Amino acid sequence: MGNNDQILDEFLLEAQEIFDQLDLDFVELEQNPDDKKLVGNIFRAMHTLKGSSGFFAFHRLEKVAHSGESLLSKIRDGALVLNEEITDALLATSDRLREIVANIKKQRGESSGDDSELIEWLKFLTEGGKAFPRTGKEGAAGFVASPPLEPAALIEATPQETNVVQTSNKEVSPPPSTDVSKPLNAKESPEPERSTEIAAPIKVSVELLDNLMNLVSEMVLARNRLLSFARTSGDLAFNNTVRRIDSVTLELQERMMKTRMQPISQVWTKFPRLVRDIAQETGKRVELIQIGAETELDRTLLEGIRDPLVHIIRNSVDHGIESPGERVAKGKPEQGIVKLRSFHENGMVIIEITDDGAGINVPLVAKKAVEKGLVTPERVSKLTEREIIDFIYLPGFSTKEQITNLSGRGVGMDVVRTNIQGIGGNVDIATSGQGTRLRLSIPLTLAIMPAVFVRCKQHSYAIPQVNLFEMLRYEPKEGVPGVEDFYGVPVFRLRDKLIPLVFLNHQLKLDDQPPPINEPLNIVIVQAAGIRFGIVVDEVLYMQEVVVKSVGPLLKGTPVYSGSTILGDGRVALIFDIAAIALRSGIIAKLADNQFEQDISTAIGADTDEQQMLLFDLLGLERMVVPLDVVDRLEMIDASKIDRRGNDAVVLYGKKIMKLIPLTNYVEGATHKSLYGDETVPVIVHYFKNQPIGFIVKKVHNIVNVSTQSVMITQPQRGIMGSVIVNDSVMSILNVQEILSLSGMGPFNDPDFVHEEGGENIALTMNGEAK
Amino acid sequence: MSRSGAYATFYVGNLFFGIPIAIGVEVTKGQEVTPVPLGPKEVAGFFNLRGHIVTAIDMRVRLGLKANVDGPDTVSIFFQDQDALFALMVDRVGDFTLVSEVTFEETPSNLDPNARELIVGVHKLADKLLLILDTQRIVSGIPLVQH
Repeated sequence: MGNNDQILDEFLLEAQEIFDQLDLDFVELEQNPDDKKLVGNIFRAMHTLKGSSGFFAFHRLEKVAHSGESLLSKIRDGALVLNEEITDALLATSDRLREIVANIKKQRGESSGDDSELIEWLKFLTEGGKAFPRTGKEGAAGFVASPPLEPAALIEATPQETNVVQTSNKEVSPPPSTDVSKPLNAKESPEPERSTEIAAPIKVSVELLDNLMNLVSEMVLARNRLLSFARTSGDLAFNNTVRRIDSVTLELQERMMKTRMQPISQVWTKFPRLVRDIAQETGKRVELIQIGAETELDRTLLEGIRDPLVHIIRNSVDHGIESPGERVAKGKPEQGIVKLRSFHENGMVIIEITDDGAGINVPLVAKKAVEKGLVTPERVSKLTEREIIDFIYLPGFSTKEQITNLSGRGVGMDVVRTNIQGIGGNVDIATSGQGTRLRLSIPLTLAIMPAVFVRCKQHSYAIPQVNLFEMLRYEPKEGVPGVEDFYGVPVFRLRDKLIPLVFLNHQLKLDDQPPPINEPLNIVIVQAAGIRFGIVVDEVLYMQEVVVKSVGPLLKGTPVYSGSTILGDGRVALIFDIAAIALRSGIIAKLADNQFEQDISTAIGADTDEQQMLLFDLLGLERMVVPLDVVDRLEMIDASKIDRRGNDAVVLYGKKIMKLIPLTNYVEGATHKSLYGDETVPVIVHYFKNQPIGFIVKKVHNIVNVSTQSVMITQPQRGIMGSVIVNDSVMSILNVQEILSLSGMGPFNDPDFVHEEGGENIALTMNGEAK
Repeated sequence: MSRSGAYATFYVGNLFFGIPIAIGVEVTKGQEVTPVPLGPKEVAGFFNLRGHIVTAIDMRVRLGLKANVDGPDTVSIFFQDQDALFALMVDRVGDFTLVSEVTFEETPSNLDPNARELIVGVHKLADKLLLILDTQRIVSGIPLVQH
């Protein structure tokens, strides 16, 4: 409801603007009756009104605007020439529309009224008639001369039809009598001024906002310096003042960010229509489901995702969803579903576009790739499905002529990826015969992004969190291979995968020391340009949100940096462009030359045949796993901070209260024991309906890759979904849904529950360790 | 470029330079510059001037002079070129000097070619020569891709 109200308010504001513009346009049109552009403007204004009124089911508005539009289209096309009568009729139309909207504003709904006279007049003129019989000269004058918006008339009029009656009374006799006789009048009159004045938003230039943003970030820096003084000062009053400044600054920054944020629904509103139109064209039945339309992201980014989304949705409906007949034959419901879902995750906005169509025809893509000479037939057989799908991002794959019958995506995917990457985002595709899911990860805003700072020599550099996959420290051990050489590329074994390494000090030409073989290494695993690689740094410092600034014109030839930022102490740090580093380091070319087999899967769990799971222990029950997509964070919680609330254990988590669930109480076979001592408790955090829930475990190990083929659904045991074989040992899969409902968090009718889909989770792997 | 007016003056090595103060000049000392590995060698790095990123240009490198080995007190002279802020890293700052057209002379042809492209002309002051720099050229002449 509230949402609708908001949309209505927006419509009313828009209408107000349109009317103001219409007034100006009409006046100008009288002076330049031949100005086609002006007629076009008025036409579009009418059209917009008509469109919006259709959305709200304002039928009067729609009809009047439609009639006006028809007349205008004739004028625009040159079929009719503007004359005095037409001008009169158009002005009357504009006035009538304004009046109807004024009533909508008052009553939050359309009032009834009779516009047939006006509509007929317009129709008459549209058909080329002159001098409408019933109105005639006098009538026309009447329409114009009694603008219904005359304030007196509006205010004293009982809301609904009366003021329509007033105008029509003068020209026509039959309809008013029926209107007046309606009993509604009496009912409505007691609440004459229900209209809430809509405070019109102020339009502020983005430039001004950016300047303010700049000042705010400066203020944050100044605050930081102040804080360091406060730490050394013993003056209580001073410290309190500093604390106050601290909190105000923080709030200022948050509010400032908000000014740039807008809900994604702004882009989505056009999609139901889009889906409907394409479905009709292609003779399919498609339902569009939207989840999370209120998710906010930066205005400038909204613009950036509009086109890619249109592209993807068009692909989904046109190529993805099968015809009704085909669907029935496959045992799918006749009506296809395209689901849009957006939410925040790790400081990114995730937009998922899922369809239950035929999926991408991977063998066909592979065949085409070979035909086009992109890959040799021998090589293609070794490629993973994901690598094959990656071909559709290549520009050559984007035209229909080149790839016919490809009942998947491939049309314009290069554009989609380029656009999304252009705004610092990522695209990931998962597909099967049951459908296709595209997952776009978009930064919340371009101005601020989370980054991890690393040190190389005496300077620190920032790596965008978007690219970050995992950070680890390698300590050489007996019998464990460390850095190895693969055709001149230093590589590192991480959970049985080869990760090529880039030594930052070499890359930046800071020194020429050969890679140390037997020393501990700090490795930041990043992902860009389709490969995952490790950057060896001197030290991993900290994570921080940074305000991104440009690097100026002189670094145009140095693509290694995507931007710069100002640190807390006022110094400047450079932000890496990870993709450029990958390219520059030459590892991509070297790997391609040497047929380097690396699983380049970009999303955990998105693979149809492999899923990543987190391995953990419970007391008395070791080797449990939980799908990574339900793990939002890992925390170590101080047992002394845990509070009891009735039977529940809770802990303050950020600004929320997190309920803690000791898994041992719910999983069959685990030993019950109060875990609280003076130790810290490892907790797996899972967000359920935006509320953090913490599962207390005994110990968290690492992430394991689980082949879905090895999953075995066993007999129901409490809290356990089934078992799986990993590295030759059997592990039990935690049944998160059951645990939640057992602990009173159910019932589970939330269709949006995470299970079906995979999720990339960066925060999680922060503590990842090398084997 | 006007040949008379007020100039901010500075020294690089034993050369005495001036840039018109009309393009917005500010002088700061002791800024900590963040170097840019792989960047153009003329770019000494970046620093922060009240929330703006400033590209610092090492004038010794730019002028083809010998690098200042210890460079104890590098001073920055700021100016704005189009949308970006730049700073010239120089050895020492002189006074603001007012000169008139009378003392102006075109660039002597025997000047080092590296320096000549940047120098608009010379003002013959009583005790020394003031070389007038073209700030735009200083920036635009830097090759973006380096080896």
